[in-house]
Amino acid sequence: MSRWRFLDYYTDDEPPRNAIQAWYNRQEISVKAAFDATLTTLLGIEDWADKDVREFKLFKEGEFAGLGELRFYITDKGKKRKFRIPGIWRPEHHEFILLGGCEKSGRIKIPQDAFEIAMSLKLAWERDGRGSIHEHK
Amino acid sequence: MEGEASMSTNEEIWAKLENKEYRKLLVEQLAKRAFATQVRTIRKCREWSQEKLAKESDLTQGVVSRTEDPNLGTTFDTAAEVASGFDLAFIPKIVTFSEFVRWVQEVSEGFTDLPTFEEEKADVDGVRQTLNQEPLVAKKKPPAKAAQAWGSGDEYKTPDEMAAQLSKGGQSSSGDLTAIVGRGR
Repeated sequence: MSRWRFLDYYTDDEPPRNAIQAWYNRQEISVKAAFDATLTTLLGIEDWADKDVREFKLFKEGEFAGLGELRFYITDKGKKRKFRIPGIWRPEHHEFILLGGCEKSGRIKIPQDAFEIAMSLKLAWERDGRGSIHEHK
Repeated sequence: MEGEASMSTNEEIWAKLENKEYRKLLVEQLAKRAFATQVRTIRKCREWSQEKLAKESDLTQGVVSRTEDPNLGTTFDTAAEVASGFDLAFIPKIVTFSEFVRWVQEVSEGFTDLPTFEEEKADVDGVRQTLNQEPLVAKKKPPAKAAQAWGSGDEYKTPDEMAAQLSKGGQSSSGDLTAIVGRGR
């Protein structure tokens, strides 16, 4: 089985911006642990597209078509808090490029524009060849 | 792509465990997510539906579905039922953090199906080899003062003798717990 890799996208600004690292650094420690555990388990899951893999979803249509998202939630004081990590899913390379993160409650996302930013980063990388990707740490 | 270290080297995982709250939460999060993933993987390898696993485990499909939800934990009882449904064993175990890091690596490598009891039985040599392996049990070294009382290894002391020697501030060279336990047999 080929092992998956997670990659961070860096803009070509000076200094470069890394959306996933910026999001991660703002999170509470419980969210960081759940995020790290989710990535660890996904590394070993061969078929992310399987309908029973609840940690991943690919947008096939709509505003964010082409983006994938990692999904996890934590239970905080009895309340479910859901998180979404948008990125570029590249099954042919066994890679997922992390483009940011957000907390989701119904139609509300925090930050609200996380997916719009992810989409613009995806275009910058894929269409314009801007920025660079590095192994996620 | 520039060459940078992977997120998942053992040293990097170890370094993140420096924060006690983080390591507690990571254990909680990874234990439930890994178990859910392993159940789902074995079920898929055997091409079983959740209903089939539920029937084999004497559980409801709803319980199996929740067991496979990586965000939810499961009880030891349910975990044992599910393992039994696969004709496999379940072993809850407290381990050191260095063992935990090694297990994180295993999780990131992915799970596969495992042989049932009957399948194992057919592989006599394989079973014998597993049965004769040294147990993977981390041993705690005794505190320095107790280690002194345990002696040099030439003579075995009962716990009472050790206590007496400690209370007298006894002089003796260090030994380790493994060796003492071994001599006590």
